[in-house]
Amino acid sequence: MRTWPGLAAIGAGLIHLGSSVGASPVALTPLFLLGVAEVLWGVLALSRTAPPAASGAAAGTAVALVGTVVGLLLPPAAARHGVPVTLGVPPVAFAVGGVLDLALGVLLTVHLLRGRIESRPPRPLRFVLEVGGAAAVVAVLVTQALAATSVGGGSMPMQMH
Amino acid sequence: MQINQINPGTAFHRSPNRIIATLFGAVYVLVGLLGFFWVNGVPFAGPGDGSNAILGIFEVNPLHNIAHLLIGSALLIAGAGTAASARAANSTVGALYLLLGIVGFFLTAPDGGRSPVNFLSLNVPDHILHLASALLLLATGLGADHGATRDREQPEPAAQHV
Repeated sequence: MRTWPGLAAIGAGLIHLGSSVGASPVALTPLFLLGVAEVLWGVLALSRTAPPAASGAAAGTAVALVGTVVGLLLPPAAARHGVPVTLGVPPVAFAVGGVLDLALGVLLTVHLLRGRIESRPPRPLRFVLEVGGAAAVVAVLVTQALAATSVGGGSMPMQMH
Repeated sequence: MQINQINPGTAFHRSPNRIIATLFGAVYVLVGLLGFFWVNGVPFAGPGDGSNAILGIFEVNPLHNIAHLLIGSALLIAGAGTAASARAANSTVGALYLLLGIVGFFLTAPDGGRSPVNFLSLNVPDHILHLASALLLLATGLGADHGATRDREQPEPAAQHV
């Protein structure tokens, strides 16, 4: 479980970086900066025994979640009022990035509430199984989200070339 | 005296990095060898027509197979060594796969992956596999066997045993 926050952060970062490529100018910079921060924090979290700057990371995750909700709801809400707003990011990318950020936020909150870390590292086989499962889930989610972005050619999820 | 007897952290069953490196090395070597049964008529470094997919899922070409063989061999060798070598190999290969997982999308975007730019004949299942490998290798390389360094895995001097 110690590696889950890092994997979730890297996954969300990859989606936000990929989404920034085809995004409108107003969304490009925030998405790119968020993606870079998430990937760097994720790598740092994997190399530490406890999530680094957990309070700040939790706050950053909350801000990212608010941005995700705004990004998901703004275009349809604006269209209903006759104002076309295009962010250039497919909803599935926003949604999957938001799910990973939500998972990250929950894990960080649990960590902060517990106020301690596991003193003993998990058994090697348990570590391998836990990391393998988490990596597989994150990889499937990230691939499906990126496949819908312009980086992935806007292809349908799970398209077999 | 065996190194693993001095430092239990380097024993195979106690080192997640050695387990993962050996497991992934074996799988990638196997996939690299099996892949040559699916590359009949496929360009050495170009996309196929879809019939070049291992088990109908993961597309490959000869260059892709050679890359699998090289990466698998490197991981196997590192896994057979020390926890520190396995850790370094897992982190390096993980970072490379993460890069490929992202760059791969740019390679497959033009012309639905049938453009010559797709020189590794990648498809979506390949991307999933590469990203999953990257995350697993990186998480293990960065997160496990923290105490394993080359210095700590050197055999103790004979004088200390007297």
